Amino acid sequence: MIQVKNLTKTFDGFKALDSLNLHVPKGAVYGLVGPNGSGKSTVIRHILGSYIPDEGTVEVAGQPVWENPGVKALMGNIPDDFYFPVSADMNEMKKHYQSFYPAFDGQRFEKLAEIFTSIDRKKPIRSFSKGMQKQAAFWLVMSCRPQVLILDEPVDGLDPVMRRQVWSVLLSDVAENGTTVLVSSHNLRELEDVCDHVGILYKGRMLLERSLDELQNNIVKVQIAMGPDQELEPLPQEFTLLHQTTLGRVHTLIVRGEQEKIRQTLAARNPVVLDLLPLSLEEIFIYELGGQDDGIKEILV
Amino acid sequence: MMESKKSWFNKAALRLDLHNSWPIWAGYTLFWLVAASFIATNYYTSQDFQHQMARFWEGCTNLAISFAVPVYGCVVAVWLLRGLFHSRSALAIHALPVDRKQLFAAHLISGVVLNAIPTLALALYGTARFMGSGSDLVLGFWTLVDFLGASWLAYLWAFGFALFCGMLTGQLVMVPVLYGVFSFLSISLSTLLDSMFRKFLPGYAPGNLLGDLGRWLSPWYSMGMDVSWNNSRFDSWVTMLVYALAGTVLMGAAYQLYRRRPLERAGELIIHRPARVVFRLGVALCAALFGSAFFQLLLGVSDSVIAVYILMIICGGVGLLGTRMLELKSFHVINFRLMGEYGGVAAALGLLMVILNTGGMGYVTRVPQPEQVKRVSFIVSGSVYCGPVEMSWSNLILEDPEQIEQLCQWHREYSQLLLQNPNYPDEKMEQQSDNETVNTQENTYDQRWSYGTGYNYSNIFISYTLNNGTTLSRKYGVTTSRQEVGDPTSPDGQMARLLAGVAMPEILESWAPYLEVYFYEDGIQYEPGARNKELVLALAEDLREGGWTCSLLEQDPFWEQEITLELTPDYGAGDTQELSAQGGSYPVRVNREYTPRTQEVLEQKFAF
Repeated sequence: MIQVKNLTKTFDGFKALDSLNLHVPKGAVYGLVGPNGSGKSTVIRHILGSYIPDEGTVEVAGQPVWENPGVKALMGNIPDDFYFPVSADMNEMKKHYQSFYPAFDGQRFEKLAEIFTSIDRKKPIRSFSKGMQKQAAFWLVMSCRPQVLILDEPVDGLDPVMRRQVWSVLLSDVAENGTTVLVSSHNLRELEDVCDHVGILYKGRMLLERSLDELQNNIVKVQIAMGPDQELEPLPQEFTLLHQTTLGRVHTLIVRGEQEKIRQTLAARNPVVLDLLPLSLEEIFIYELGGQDDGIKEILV
Repeated sequence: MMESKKSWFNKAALRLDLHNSWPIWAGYTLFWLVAASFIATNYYTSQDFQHQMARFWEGCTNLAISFAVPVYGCVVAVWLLRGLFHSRSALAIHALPVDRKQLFAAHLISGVVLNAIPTLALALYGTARFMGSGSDLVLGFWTLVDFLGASWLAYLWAFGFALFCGMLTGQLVMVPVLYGVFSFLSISLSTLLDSMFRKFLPGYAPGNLLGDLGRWLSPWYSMGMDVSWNNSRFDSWVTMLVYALAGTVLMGAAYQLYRRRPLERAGELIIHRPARVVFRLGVALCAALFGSAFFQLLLGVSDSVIAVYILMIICGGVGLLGTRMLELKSFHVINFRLMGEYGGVAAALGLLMVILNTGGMGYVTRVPQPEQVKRVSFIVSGSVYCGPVEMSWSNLILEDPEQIEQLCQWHREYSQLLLQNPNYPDEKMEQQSDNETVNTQENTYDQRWSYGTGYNYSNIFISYTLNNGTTLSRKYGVTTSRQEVGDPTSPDGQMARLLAGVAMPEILESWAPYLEVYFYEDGIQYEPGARNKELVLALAEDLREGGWTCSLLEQDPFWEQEITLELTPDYGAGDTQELSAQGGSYPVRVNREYTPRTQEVLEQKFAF
């Protein structure tokens, strides 16, 4: 549904995006993660058609986004800091969105009012707290019935109850209408619950892009303890050792490779203890980046 | 208009533009109603009832194109583009399902709507106010049409120009700043350059092209100064149409800039990268010129080329650094690139000063050969001690080869003097003020003259028309000292002889029908009779024969008392523009040797 090819963007000599490739399948919930300054917001602004690419292409639903109102009408966008015109209240914003988005669903707007009960529709939205403004943004955007949702830190500022409600509305849209969602967040635990695809950005490049299952199957935490006279021999080259710590005779390894093969290989060495544990998205993020980012390397050490 | 994917029109974008815009058009309407009330009251008190309505619209038009419309056009553009200057709003607007051409078209339509409402209100108000006042409604109607046409053309320029400025910058406050500065920049720069060239390039005469260019490129100034009326009908349509066309072109340029506008640079001083360098260097050069002009006056160092250059590079450097600091919003801006740019500015200014100081690549000494010259137009303002009339703005045409040769010779010698010392006229003025006594015993001096001390300062403008059809113009400030007028070898003496021999008789002959001649004897005034043409013509003849500098002649011992002729233009009978410009009366001392014909007339007619 979203296809970014060789996207490059430079800001005053700084390469924010460097031949970036990104692919979000239709109906997927795609988590875009990366450290600060890795280029997440820049990619999103290209996908929304706000930034002009220096090089490369950005397509949504098979069409270029840049200067294409037809494609933009399919997309809903909730940035970290939503913009509301001065003195605009919810009713005025509804009129604006109705006039811009042909798919705007007035009935849904009224139905969503039951969720966002704390919002006074006649009060200027700019006078709301950040969390309330975010609720207002969700209310408006979800009423547009977008086929593609682009979210940048979408639930940041929402209370836990509202977070659940918002995710619930969003995921039911995905389930019922096949909405494609691209979500950027630093809250990896939350993303892990909702995403089925993940892309990790680092310094403007896509470090890895997989389905969450593939990702979690492809990297594993191994706890292995050898006998008193045994040494842990190096792993074969087909596996990538991302990290290793040793405490007494217990070795903890983070290994990239097929889980079953890793198990068989290590079991053949007759360890006293052998456990393979799945990694959380946060751990995967940290260990994957650990090989690239000196700052993260230091944390791991 | 059909709304489609390809359409320029987007109703939602227009709606967004006009949302909450009422304070803009309501404020402008209120301004006009108040201003129009004052203008109308002013013409109600007039006794010219028939023209009241026409005069009202005339007043409204003048106010509109010289002030109201230029300001309002900029306000409207700032209002419509306001979303572009903050990253959050710019990104939000451009993520909506609308493309830039539709957004831009919405701005244009909104601009029209926001001007149409106040204009319509004013038209209705003005018509209602004068409907039963006895005014000529047909004339009033046509003047209203003039108002509508002129103010809309001015709006087209103002709005287009402001849109263009808005697309150059990423900061809201910079839109009116750029708009205001660009509206007057050209005229200010051309005036400043003109004064610098005159100071350091002796003989520099600004061509019409530079002046016209400066004026045309200063639209606000030009529209405020150049509009005119003819019998209650607007008469400056060409000016307005040219600016409206320029406004339209600028709208097109603004759209092209908008299409390429990088939203990530919202908030920056100048949005487009190539324009940044031009802006930085432009500010540096303007700072160099304006700053040095200011400090020259403040420090009194305007005569020293080196001092002016040092001031220029200091002010230019401050301008360049300041602009870079504003661009980066940081004080840490000095790097090799900036130093390189600064070096470029300093070198350009240095080159300019070297060119100016070395005669402008032959400009100062360029004097045509007499045989190349077909005609010379010659204008003098000020006094040159050369005859009875202290000439002012006398436009003389020289076609006689002998006179042209005389002029070329003077010009050549004078330009050489100026090349050696550009401050020659000023220094001479100071010397003349300091020197109380002059040695007049040198051989070159004619002992019959009353030398004394003193000087006159005048401007001489010479325009050669060459045989090949081209022109060569020069303008000089000339200090004419009383001593040197008596020295035929000095440039002053040459110029005085040239003027006395050529210009004075011509002037006197053309003035003769309009001049009153009085003469004084021992302080008692005698009136020889109105328009004593015979006396004037006799004096003119004397001057042509060499009786120049009559006002400096010693009193002739032939006359027992001092007799002075006084020539006064008779404004009542000879109210021509030329004479009106002269004013005053001019003394002539009569001398037997140098003014024999004058003496003859005086003897015959007045029994002296």
